[in-house]
Amino acid sequence: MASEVKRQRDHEEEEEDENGAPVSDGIGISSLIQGWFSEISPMWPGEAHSLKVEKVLFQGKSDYQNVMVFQSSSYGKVLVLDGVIQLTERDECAYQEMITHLPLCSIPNPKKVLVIGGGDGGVLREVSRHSSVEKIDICEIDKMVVDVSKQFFPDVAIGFDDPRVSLHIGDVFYTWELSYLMLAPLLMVLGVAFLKEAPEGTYDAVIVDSSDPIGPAQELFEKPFFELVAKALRPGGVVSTQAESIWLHMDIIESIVTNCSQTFKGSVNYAWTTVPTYPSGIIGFMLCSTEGPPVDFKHPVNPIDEKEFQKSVRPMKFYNSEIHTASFCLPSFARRKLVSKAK
Amino acid sequence: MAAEESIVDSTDFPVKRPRENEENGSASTLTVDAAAAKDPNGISAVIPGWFSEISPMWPGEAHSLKVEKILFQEKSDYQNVMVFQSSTYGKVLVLDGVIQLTERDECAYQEMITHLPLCSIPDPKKVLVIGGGDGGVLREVARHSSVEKIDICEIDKMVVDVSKQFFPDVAIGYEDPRVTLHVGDGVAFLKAVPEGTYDAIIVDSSDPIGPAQELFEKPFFELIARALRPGGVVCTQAESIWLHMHIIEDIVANCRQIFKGSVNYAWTTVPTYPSGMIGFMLCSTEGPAVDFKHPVNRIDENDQNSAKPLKFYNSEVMLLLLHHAVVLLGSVCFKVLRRRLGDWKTETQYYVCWLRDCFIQLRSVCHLLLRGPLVPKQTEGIRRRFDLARVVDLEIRPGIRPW
Repeated sequence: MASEVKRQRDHEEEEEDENGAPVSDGIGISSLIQGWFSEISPMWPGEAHSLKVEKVLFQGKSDYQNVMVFQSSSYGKVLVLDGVIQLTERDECAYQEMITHLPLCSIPNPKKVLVIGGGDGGVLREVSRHSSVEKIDICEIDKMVVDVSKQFFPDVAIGFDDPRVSLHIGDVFYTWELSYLMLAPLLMVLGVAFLKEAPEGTYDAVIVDSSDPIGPAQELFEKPFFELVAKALRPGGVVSTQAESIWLHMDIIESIVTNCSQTFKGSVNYAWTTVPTYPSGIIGFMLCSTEGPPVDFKHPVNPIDEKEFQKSVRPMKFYNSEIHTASFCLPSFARRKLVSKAK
Repeated sequence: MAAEESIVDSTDFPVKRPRENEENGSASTLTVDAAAAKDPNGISAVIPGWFSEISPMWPGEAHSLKVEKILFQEKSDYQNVMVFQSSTYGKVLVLDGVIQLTERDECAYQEMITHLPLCSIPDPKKVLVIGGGDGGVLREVARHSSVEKIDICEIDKMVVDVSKQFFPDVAIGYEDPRVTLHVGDGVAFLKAVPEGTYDAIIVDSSDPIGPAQELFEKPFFELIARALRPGGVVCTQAESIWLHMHIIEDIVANCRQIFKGSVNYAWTTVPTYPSGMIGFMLCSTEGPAVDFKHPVNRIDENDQNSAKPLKFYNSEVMLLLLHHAVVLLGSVCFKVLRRRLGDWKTETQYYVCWLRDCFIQLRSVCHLLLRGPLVPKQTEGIRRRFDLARVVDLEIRPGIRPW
């Protein structure tokens, strides 16, 4: 393996950015080691995770981001958006299962679920394990991600095959259901006769499977979005959002926690899990519930590992009730910053 | 021995003999192209400024850190030792091309490997550390006031020296008077130790390729079980479930045969280790039952030793005194500034503040001398970095700022 790595470099093809690290090698992907993909980003300065590339399978530019799929030598196929790893076949189970079952196992009988982002379909695959769910809406901004996932990640995109799923392509602020909710107060103000009252939020759970706050997902980390989500949820409904890493982004997490604690009047919690191919090896989740029937995220009332609704989907690899409860345990440096001083 | 070059011949690894000559593989790779080769420590000669942790133990992936400056690079009798200053992770210690610790995240590993066992038994008195030459585990063991004797057996003296020179916050563990350093082989040390000596043994080893190979094998666990008293505990570094399930299964199988008490596996997050996490085997010998999942010896409630009020590492007292020193310094500076600017009113205000700070500091010193160190209840804002016993309660009431 050492000799494979040390192939001769073709210096004419090497470009360097200001970090002194090359931004592209002969195969056009950013790399610190020839033949490897390196995930360099200003969001995690001074470090980079690299995966050995067997073959680049797809490389394209959508309206919103650069999309790439490559076959890695030890992590299966890897999906990369704007130079940031989104999922690998080997460890995607950790992220998809946790972001889905942390909220859905905390409320009894979820019926209507909304997924924002998650165009790869993995979250849909996990939501469909719950037999009580009747309707799954997914709103993804980038059609290319959906197509690429269906083509290269069939075990992940199998989530789209479930008949309960309706896919909406577009910006979440303009999807039909949510825009209806936004317009309702406006129409009320204008005194339109056919609207007697603003419709209550209809979703039991909203899952926000977004990329990072630099790029098309930027608005999904801001307060207007959380307010929209709170409106879309029924009383006692739950939301689960991707919330970065405590090792790298405590400042972003603190602002998300502030926004959520102002917007969501029920419980507000932070959980995290291990995903080797994400920077710092972990990823966190905000779990909030709206005012209404109380939700205790740490003690799941709707455990899934006891009911084997597998159907055509493969068994769960990562999630169980113990790791559900354990994921809320925070290291002291994070707990200090996120826990109320009033306690 | 450089990890990425020694994959050529896997039988070539010395177990604990000092190195005899240069690695067999390195000569061939260095001649390919001088610009294309890496040196044995993983610093890429082609792409200046980044260190990549490539190893056959995690094929096809590598974590890279941007290097500001290499501070130390030498070969000991057992391994290549390197220290570099990274741009975002502080100083980094690398043995045989594998990151051992970085200043930014070492707390996670050191605290967990120490307190997981020590907080699970009441009043540990005698503790043995095998490996851990950097001193971080010693620093954490020293927080337990019940401990009377800390033995450490490290095979490589260079690691100890390098740590004392470049990682003073980690090597501070050596300054505790209870610590006795033995430089030598852990297996030989355990054979010489009387049966049932230790309450806890912590095996802070590197990976199973290299000088730590025998620390993952069955004879070693048998020696550990013999050296522990009944109901004693051992905690060993046990790789990552994402990468090394087969190694972990072997370790678990060995431990289940040898340790007749509890056998558990725990893990924690360490960003600079491969796959971002590291695991621990926690076992206890036959005797008083040990429940690792429910710690009986919580450190945050009784971590101050009244016989030694002034501990030198991150204690509540030191933080408080430091805080006041900074405040005093700040107010003195401001006082000087204001005098220059000639504003007598503000100057008076600052004299008053300065006096107030003097009184606060005096009060805490008196408190310290008269009543012993402040108990954790009085220092709500200062906590240990890892609290094992508490499931975090993050219920945030609306309208109250979370910090």
